[in-house]
Amino acid sequence: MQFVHLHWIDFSIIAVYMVGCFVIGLYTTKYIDNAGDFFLAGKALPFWAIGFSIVVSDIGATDFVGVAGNAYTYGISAANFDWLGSMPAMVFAAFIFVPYFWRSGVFTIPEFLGRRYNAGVQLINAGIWIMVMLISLVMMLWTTADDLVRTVLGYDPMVTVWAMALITGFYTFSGGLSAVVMTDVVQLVVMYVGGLSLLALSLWEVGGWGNLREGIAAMGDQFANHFTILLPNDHSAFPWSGIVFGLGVVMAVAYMSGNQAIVHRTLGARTEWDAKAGMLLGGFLKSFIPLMVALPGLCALIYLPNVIKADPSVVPAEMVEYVKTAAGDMPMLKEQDKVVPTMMRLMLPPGLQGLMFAGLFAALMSSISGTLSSASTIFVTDIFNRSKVLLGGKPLNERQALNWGRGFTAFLIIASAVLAPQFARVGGLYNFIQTILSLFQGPTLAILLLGILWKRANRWGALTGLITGVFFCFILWCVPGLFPSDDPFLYVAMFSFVFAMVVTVVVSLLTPPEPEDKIRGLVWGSVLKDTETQAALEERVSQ
Amino acid sequence: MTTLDVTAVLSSVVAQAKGDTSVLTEAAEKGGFFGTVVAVSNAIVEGWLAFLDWFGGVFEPVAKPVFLPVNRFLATVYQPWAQIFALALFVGTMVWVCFFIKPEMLNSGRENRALWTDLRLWTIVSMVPHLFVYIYFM
Repeated sequence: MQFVHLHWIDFSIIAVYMVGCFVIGLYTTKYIDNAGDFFLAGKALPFWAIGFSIVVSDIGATDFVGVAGNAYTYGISAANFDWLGSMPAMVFAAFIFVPYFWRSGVFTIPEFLGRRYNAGVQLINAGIWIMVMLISLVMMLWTTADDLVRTVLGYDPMVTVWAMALITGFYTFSGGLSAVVMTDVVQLVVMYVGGLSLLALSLWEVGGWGNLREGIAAMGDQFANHFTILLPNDHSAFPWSGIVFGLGVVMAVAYMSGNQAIVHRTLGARTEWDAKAGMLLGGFLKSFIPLMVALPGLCALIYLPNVIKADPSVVPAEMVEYVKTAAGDMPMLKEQDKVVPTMMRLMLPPGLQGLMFAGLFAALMSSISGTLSSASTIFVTDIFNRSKVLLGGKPLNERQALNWGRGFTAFLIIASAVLAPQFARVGGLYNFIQTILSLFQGPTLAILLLGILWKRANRWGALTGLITGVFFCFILWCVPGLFPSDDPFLYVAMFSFVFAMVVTVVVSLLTPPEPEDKIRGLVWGSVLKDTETQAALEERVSQ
Repeated sequence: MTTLDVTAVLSSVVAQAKGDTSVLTEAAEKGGFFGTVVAVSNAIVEGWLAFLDWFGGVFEPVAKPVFLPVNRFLATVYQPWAQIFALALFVGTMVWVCFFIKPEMLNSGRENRALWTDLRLWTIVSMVPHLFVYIYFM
């Protein structure tokens, strides 16, 4: 197995980047006096920082690896997750959900659900998110360490896992959301420079866009859909009905509106306008992501076979399989998640390798720190503090909440590093994470949407809708061959959303409505019309 | 946990990290504390997988008659409708933002009235490029 030996220039670039993040993270510590500063950055974030932070928190090294791999196998339709699956959803999030979250002064989405419905809904939703965030953290760490660093550099993945965990954990532990957002701004710049370098060089190597299209078209029928954005309904991975309705209408909206790791930054905005503008800016910047993550995957279809044919020893034989195409037998990589690492190893010169690695580390570290910060906020606000109050104890004061937040941050990152090797055998990384998310995002979106748009939705409806909705997802997931797609997460999300919505509506209508006082300011139409409520909400925010 | 167990755990982690999963089977066969932990973990995973099979089998006769006709219907939908739905999602969102949300709510919280702070403009600038992309890749 050949590995890249980084030049001193590469090490210098990576070291400058790491030290820079560390110093920025440490610097923000001086602004942390209480839980509000730690969890919501003192509600002082401007729109540009929110927008930058949303993009890098959402895009991790897993996207570079997973989406490029999907593009290699299925074509440009893999980019739907960052186009159709982002912009419309982020506009809905900006104008329907974010204003209510921001005005109500909550720290988390489960806290909003708790206020709108009850503690049961809050606890269930918070518990699910904590589990999902732990799995996401573990997978992010392992993917970078194993699929990237080990494949390209040959380093022991456990060393990489612990190095990443300690650096990221340290600045998140110290500076909370402020450190996360400020380092995210730097990380976005580094990630874009690294990603665009890979794109430019990939296109250069294959002779430009025209040659890429012609080259793939010449490979025959099995690659005929590689430049079709919406694939036929009998496609095994991304059938269009699943993409348009499952992803565009349900999963994306649920992800952008109900995912604490995304919405968290907007809750720390200095004004409501900044919160909304930050979300829209994030959507705009995200539009460029497929250029960096999907197009190199397509370029690999032309570049790698040419390189391997010229010198078969450049890629280990066990990683290659020969596929019959119209252009002859082509050597292709067996594992799609190895595409980007192999491209980096074979294509990038010294200096650019360091820049690309810094970009990938930026993508990873920003996602880890964002997830850590959001998970600790949910744990302290929605699980620990809420349970303590429900059991008759006193709520945590600011100092206690800050300490518990830091303690849980440390625990979570250590637990993630310890568990990382257990995910070594999970294939199709991106799809695995989407499958986990699909198991509850449909029902969560249903109760969140009804909670904001329909004042008649009540706690019994939401609780029943959420529990039966997740159970319904589980059924859809377990029954084999129910949907045309091999990974039916898009359909699971779509149908579970409809199911949970119907259940929530029916049960809400059969049970007493929530008192007006309880839901005032939390439901569409009740905020701008009621100056008294607006004043009360603003006062709550300023506390 | 004994020193031997700690060594076994660490070597297992390293072995797994290097892609060698046979260490789990060997550890389970050898017994001891670590072997017992591995054996129990394996039993839990196997039990879980068996449960998933059973669970899927129980609901299959109910779920398939409901969803298979839906799949058959979707498979017959004319392919260009995919593009129409996708473009409609982008255009519909822009129309909703520009014409159906009250301006005072849309831009609430903005500190100045400069044109660039109007979020309707942000929405259009962000979404129009997507229309071209979806038309180009039809």
